[in-house]
Order: sequence, then structure tokens, then C-alpha cells
Amino acid sequence: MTVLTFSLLLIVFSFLAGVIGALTGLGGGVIVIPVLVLIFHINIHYAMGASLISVLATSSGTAAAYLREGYTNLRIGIFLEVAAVTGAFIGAMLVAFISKSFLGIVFSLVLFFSAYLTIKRKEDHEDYTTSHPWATALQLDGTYPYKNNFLSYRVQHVPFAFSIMGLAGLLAGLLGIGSGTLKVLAMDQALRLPYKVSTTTSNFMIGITAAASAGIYFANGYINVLVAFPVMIGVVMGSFSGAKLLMYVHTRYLRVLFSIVITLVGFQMLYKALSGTL
Amino acid sequence: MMSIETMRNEMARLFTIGTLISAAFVFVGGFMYLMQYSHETLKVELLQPSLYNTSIQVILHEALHFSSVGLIGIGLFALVAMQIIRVGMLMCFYFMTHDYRFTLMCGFILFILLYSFFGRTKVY
Repeated sequence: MTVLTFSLLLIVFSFLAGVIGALTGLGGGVIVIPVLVLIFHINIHYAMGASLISVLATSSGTAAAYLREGYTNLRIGIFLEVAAVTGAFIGAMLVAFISKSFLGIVFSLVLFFSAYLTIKRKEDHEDYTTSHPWATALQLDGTYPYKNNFLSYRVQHVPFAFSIMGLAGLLAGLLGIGSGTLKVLAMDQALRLPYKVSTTTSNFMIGITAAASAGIYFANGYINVLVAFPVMIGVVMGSFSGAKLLMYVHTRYLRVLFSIVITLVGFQMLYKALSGTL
Repeated sequence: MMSIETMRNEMARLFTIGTLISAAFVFVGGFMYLMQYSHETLKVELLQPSLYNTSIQVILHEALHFSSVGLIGIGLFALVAMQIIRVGMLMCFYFMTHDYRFTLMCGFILFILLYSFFGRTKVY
């Protein structure tokens, strides 16, 4: 395979990763890493570096559209990010003391159960009349665009979501994984946000979390330009397209897509944990 | 006083312009790279560690000499910089609106980001 063929193929895969990342709030890493490692047999460190670039590019590519449309809840994003970065710091410090295989198995089971919960939730039938006291104090409630109108939503179970975000950061620090999955779940299942608000706010947050790791990746030479540039170009184009698509895709389909993707991530995590390659 | 809608629009503009600038650097660098190496066979050795030094100092040095690797690196740095700038913008906004709880939260995140980017160089 020539360098040109490799680059063009990678742009195509990365475009797909960008579209799915923009729609699900997971970033493109869940697609980029398996494609690079399993199909192109690329060094795992470079795959992780490319995954980081894809997360940054997805977050940046979708930010403008989601902010203008009024989906992203900035206050929730900042509030939960405090727990996420704190967890990531503690996780990085605990990395030598905790069994990664055990964590991987637990995390994969959480993902399977979450896929079920995501499919099961029918948010159209939920209409909360009160907010959690923390949500009121921190002014976390908001509105989102729905059929040429803006609907308001009330935020629930704030401490629970904050704890999940701390755990998400902890796992990200311990296992070196992206924490987009748990971010969406914390907002969807705990805060009970409308699904599109969860995925777009997750897209806002994953860029910040990824930026916290960027220094390490650059300093250690994990950003291979041959891999990073097609990924960046493909993901940016994909995330721009995904952000346009979000307005038109029914929430139900997004939930199904998200559940499929996190089930696949769960299987991947379980395999790594059982084979001792985590 | 700046409203949250104005803030959102300003941030959206930052991301539109920033992403396009970043993509332009990466695109030009990638194009230059392909002009040089497009017909070479992809070698396994090429994808092993330690071929490229992507430290901040080296990327800046390469970019000043208009090398393809340097231009791509600058584009990627711009992606990271946008995340830091957006937290900084939000911190200023919350400070100006006297929302000190969120100013503090943004300050904490900003500190972690800056420390992570400039302060840490080793893998745990």
C-alpha cells in the first residue's frame, strides 16, 4: 500500500468516525482506534494519538453548530468537567495500585447495562415539574430547540451525575480510555436531559478532557503526522456533516446508534480485560 | 453586559474560524507531505515509535522552516489551544456576570489544562 492510498482510506474511515462521533457525543476515538489497529496494524501508541486528535477535531467541528443552535448546556458542561478532570488526575495517580483487568470487566458490564437503559428510556413521556435543589442553585436547567420551538427541561439527580463524572474521569485516567460514553450516560440517565442535549454537551466536554492529555501525547511523540493528518481532515469534515445531520435525525435512531456503539466498545473492553492486554 | 447568547455566538465564531485555520494548516502540511512521499510504500518501520519528535519546541522549530511535519503540528496545536481558549472565555464571561462559583470552576479546569499541556512530559 502506498502512502497516498493509506491517507485516502484513512480520510474515508475518519469521515465516518466524525459523523458518528458528532451524533453520539462519543468523539471519533471508538472508531479510529479499532480501524487503525485491526485494519492497518498501526502501533497502538499512534492509534491512541490519532484517537485524541479525532476527539479534539470532533469537539471543535461540532461546537459552532451546537452552540448556535442552542443545544449545548455550557453550565452543565463546566460543572461536570470539574468532576471529570479531578477524577482523571486521581486515576492517573492510582494507576499502579488497581487491577486494570478487573476494572475493564466491570466497565464493560456497565456499558452493556447502559446500552439497555439507553434504548429503554422514552424521554418524550417525561415531564418533570421540579428540578434537583443543586440544579436550581447552580442554574443548570435550560432549553433546547425542538420543532421550530424551544422546550425547557429540568435537571435531576445532580450529585449522582457528578459522581458518575468523577468515575468517568477516574476510568479515563486508569484505563487510558475516552470518557465520552459515561459523560453521555451521566447526562441521559442521571440528569435526565433530552438526548440531543446530552450528546452535544458531551461533545463540548470531550474536547476539554482530551486537551488535558494532549501535552503528554505530544511530548512522548505519540502524534504521528502520517496518521494524524488524514484523521484530522476526515474527522473535521465528518463532524461538520454530523452536526448538520443532528437537527434532522430522530432521537430514537440516535439512541439505537449509541447503544450499538457502546455495546461494541464493551465487547472490545471485555476482550482486552480477559486477554490481559488492557 | 454580555448575554449568554452573545457569548455562545462569540464562542461559535471562535470555533468556526479556529477549526478552519487549524484544518488549513493540516491540509497544507499534509499536501506537502504527500507531494514528497505519496508514491512510497507504507513501511511497517514508518509506524514504529520514536521516528518523529513531536515536542512543542521541535514542532515550532519545524513550522518556522515551513516543513510539512511542522505545519501539521501547528494545526494540531491549534485544536488544543481552542479548548484552552474556550474555557478562558467562559471564565471571563462568568467573572463579568459576577457568577463567581462558575468562575472558580473554569479557573480550576483552566489550571489543569495549562498544567497538563506545559507541565507534564512523562507518561505515568
